[in-house]
Amino acid sequence: MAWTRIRKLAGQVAPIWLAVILLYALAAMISPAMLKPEQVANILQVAAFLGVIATGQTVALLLGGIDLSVAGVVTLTNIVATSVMLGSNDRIPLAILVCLVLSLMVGIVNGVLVTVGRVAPIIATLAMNSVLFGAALIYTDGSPYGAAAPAFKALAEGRIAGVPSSAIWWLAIALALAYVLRRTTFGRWVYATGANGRAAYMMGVPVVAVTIAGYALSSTLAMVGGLLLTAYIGNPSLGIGNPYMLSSIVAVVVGGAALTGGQGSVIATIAGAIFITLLTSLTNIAQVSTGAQFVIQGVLIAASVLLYRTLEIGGQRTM
Amino acid sequence: MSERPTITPQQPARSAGPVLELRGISKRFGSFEALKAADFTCLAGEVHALMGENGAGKSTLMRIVCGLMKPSAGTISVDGREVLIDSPVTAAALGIAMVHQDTRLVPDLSVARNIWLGREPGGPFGLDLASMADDAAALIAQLGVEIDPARPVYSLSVAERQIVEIARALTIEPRVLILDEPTSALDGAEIANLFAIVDRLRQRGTAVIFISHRIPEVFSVADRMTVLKDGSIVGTVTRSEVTHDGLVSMMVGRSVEFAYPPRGKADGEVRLSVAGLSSGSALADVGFEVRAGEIVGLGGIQGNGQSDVARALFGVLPAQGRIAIDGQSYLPHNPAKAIRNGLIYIPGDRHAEGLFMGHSVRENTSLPHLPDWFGLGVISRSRENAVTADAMARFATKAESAEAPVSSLSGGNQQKVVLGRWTAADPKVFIFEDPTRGVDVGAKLEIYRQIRALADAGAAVLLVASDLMELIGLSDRILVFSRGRIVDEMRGEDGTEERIVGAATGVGEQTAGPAGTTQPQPVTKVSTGELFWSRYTGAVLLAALIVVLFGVTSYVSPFFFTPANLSNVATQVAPLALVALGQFVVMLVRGIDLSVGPVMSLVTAIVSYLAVADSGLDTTTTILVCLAVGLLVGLINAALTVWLRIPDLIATLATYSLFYGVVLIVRPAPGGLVSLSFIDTIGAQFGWVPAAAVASVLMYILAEACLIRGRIGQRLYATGSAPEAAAAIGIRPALVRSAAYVFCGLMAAAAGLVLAARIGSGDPQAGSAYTLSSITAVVIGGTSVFGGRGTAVATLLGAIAVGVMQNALNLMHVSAYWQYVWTGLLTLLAVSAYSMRLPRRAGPA
Repeated sequence: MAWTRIRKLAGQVAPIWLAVILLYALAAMISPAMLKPEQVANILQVAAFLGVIATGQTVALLLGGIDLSVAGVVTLTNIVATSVMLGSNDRIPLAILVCLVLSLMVGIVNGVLVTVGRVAPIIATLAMNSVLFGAALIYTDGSPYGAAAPAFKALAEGRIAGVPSSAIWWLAIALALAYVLRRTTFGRWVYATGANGRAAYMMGVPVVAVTIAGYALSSTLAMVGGLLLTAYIGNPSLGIGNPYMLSSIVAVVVGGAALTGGQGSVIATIAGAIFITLLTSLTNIAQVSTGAQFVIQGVLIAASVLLYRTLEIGGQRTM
Repeated sequence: MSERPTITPQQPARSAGPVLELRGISKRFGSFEALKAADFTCLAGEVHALMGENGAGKSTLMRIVCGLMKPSAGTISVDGREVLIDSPVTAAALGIAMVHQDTRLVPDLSVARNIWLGREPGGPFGLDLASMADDAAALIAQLGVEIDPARPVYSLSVAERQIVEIARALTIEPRVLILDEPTSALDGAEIANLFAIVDRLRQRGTAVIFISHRIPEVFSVADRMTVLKDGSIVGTVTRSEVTHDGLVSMMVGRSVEFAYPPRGKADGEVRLSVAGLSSGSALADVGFEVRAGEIVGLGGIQGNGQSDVARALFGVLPAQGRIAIDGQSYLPHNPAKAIRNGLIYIPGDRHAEGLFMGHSVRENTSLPHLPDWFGLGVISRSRENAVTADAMARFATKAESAEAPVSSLSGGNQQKVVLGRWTAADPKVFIFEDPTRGVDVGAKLEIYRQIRALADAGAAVLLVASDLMELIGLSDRILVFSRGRIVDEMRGEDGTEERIVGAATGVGEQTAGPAGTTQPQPVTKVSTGELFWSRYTGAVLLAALIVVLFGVTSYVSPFFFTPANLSNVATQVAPLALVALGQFVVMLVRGIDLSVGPVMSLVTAIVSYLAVADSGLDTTTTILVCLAVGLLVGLINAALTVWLRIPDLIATLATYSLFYGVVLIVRPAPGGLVSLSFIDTIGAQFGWVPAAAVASVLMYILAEACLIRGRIGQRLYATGSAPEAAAAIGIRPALVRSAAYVFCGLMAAAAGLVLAARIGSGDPQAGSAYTLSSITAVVIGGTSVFGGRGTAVATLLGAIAVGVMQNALNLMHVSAYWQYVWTGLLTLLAVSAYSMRLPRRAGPA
């Protein structure tokens, strides 16, 4: 029983984890320093920001949608958090509260546009991203100010047993969400809505509420990713979120989520985020330019869609 | 019987050899044999009915004849010559035309355009619209009806659409015309009209193949009948040598009683009572009761309100009336509420409405019960497993395990999963719709037994079945529907196909339907004004917006309306207009191209290397190289989306990243100095008017002309509006979509050239804003993101509106940063406003 469960689990999540292991082996061959605990911790540290944001993106893709506004949310969070905190520990709760309210609003508006307004998710969230980026520019008038408070920076800079604390935040969030999606009614509703919204509605699932909640979750996690990033960097920076629009999708897609919704897993996205981060640091070691990294990212999106489709011919995966 | 339309028996007009001869046609789908060595012959000037129950293989056989499927074995001969029919185009060339049950028309095109789609008169860029309309009207008149050829097909009734499809079939002067269950959605008068048309065609010597499983209909129209059962031909008979009963026994081939479980006593309490149920034109004052232990069948010709009753009770179709379950008043609102009240509806279309194909049997079984069992909280896996195991055991569901995805199960076992799901709780009222659709015979009996067992256990059961044998065999009581009303009621054991069909079609002449469907509809003529308005709503609204913008801005800033500034605006609009035209064409065929922004940047970078002063290439070569890059980009996008079938959004997101990476490699930071000769050529001006703006406007005029008068326009609208319909006519949607992406790549390159001339250098970020703003320009013009609807003119006005707004805000000293906000907001506003205008589907899609 236990063995079949392990085997089943292995069969379900293997491809991306296998890819992570192979890539790590390759990285270690090129640069043996990659095996040092310090370097591993570094990878986890950098992967954490992408990991949290991609966890939210997974929910949007599971619903059969997409959330391109995560980039704008991350940027705005960074700008707002630093400008509200102004480097003072007392103002941390207020900063977090403001960011939380903002991200919830963004997510709910996205969800309402997609469900009630029947706007295609790609257009709704692309437009929302533009609005958020514009808002960040207007708010700062192009020159951001403020700084993260010392106590806030500890959130991301600390280590627990050698593991960066932002990585611990990330894994805790991802595992909790994986549990919610797999083992609670709400999670099943998300999968059902994404797989076949019409059938879910006919089975009494409140699809509109589930979809809105899903987009709210996506925005909120993008906000959390933005806070961790802010804690790590300590300064405001316009456009800090921009790379995450694409990379969060790449992480989910290499994790094997079906783009049509209803198939995919947050656990696989953890591996996806590690994979992307490893690949980036590998290309850094190889001194590949930023441009080439974008090229690789683009090829990776198309290749993983095709690869997972080929794998599916052998048997449907449910996780 | 007497009031049903009949045609006087007639000898085939021309006694000739067989027009169409099929020998040993077989078709396998995996392990399922849909056709087993079927032979079939059809003569000129005869109406030949092809009969059989649902799933007997009628439609498969005819799809093979008209080139939509390839047979696994067998030969087809036309006029005694063996032929290979590999596409609908070949079939049409041989004179074979088919009118599909679910009509294959393009909703967004007019009647005349639909009729001539794929074989339009006139040149590729000069459709002869006048003769298209005249000939269409003449063809329709030949059929004894009148429909304005200018009307868009989405505004037609089902019967009118069928007429249009027949008219379209007549354009090839068919030798063989196949009608696939043409009467299923028609009322008595419409059926009579159809039969008159069939008779006229017979007299002209056309061989008409009439697919049906309605015996009375077949007797009134057909000369010969061929019966199919389980993929084999049972036999061919002429009308004079067979009786109704004889035909029935050929079709069923077994005693009717044998298959069905014995009826119950049905003497329990009333569980469901319905009174005065009405819904628009679908239902009129329907009332009935169902007792515990009773199965009540809702019968009649499909689409006469039977399914609407089910949907109204389940809360999917808005309706008024008094409903009570176990004496408790119940007001339908949505499925969730129906389920809470113990009323379950099991729709006939399992795949669309009943199952999650990729999910496991366990997940499919427990989904609707989760809130009941676990609230919103944690699911107990052991309870879930136990319930699933129990449901699978009760129905003897064959699956590898409870974790197997339902897509791996056979049709019958899938239906057992659905039944197991709902019987895991204890509902009071079950509504089944075609519970055995797509289910093999063995599983059918099992499902009948289970439905009866549910009733015996005390549930009230409503059965909506298009298969009348099933309805009669299973029901304790049958209510016959016609045009939304109950017109007859009988005990199950008294039910016969003839009585049900008779009641359903016979009353048409005596009572008027709720929506007056029997009265001859006045011919709806559409005026040129209406046509213009329906095509150019978006354009007119935008033109008004632009005028207002002009007015307000000139008032606030006198500088606005000066040649210098207008020239400036035109220079700004030109690249956006060019790229928006490409985006428009892609969105017209249901695609989207996110890569246009980076492609424009890429072109500026290339220009900044090629067209440099002194050492560079000449301007013409530079332009050609850049257009070649655009072509390549388009081909890559087409390859990913069309050939590799990656969803458009993800594919072009991948190429967005790819091309952005390439620009960063080529030109990591703004730089390079574009030669003056390049700037002078691309940035040339006629007076104060930039040549690029003039060129853009000309492109748009050309595009709009092609959309209206070109074959390519017909193909784009058809592919975007109804790809399956386009494919059935022989248009290749894959080719059209590829062409759209290639065109978009070229337009993005052209826009990049104009942009390079404006900024005078290469810049990796130059195009980044254009991905969104090109989409904005398209959608504020009213182009539907679901494809098939939109105009080039409105897109141009969209681009102009965006450009003017930008300029106006600059002049009013509003920070340039606002541009991100308002393009985003404008897009959201436009898309939601336009999508609200589209007809709503029932429930969220």
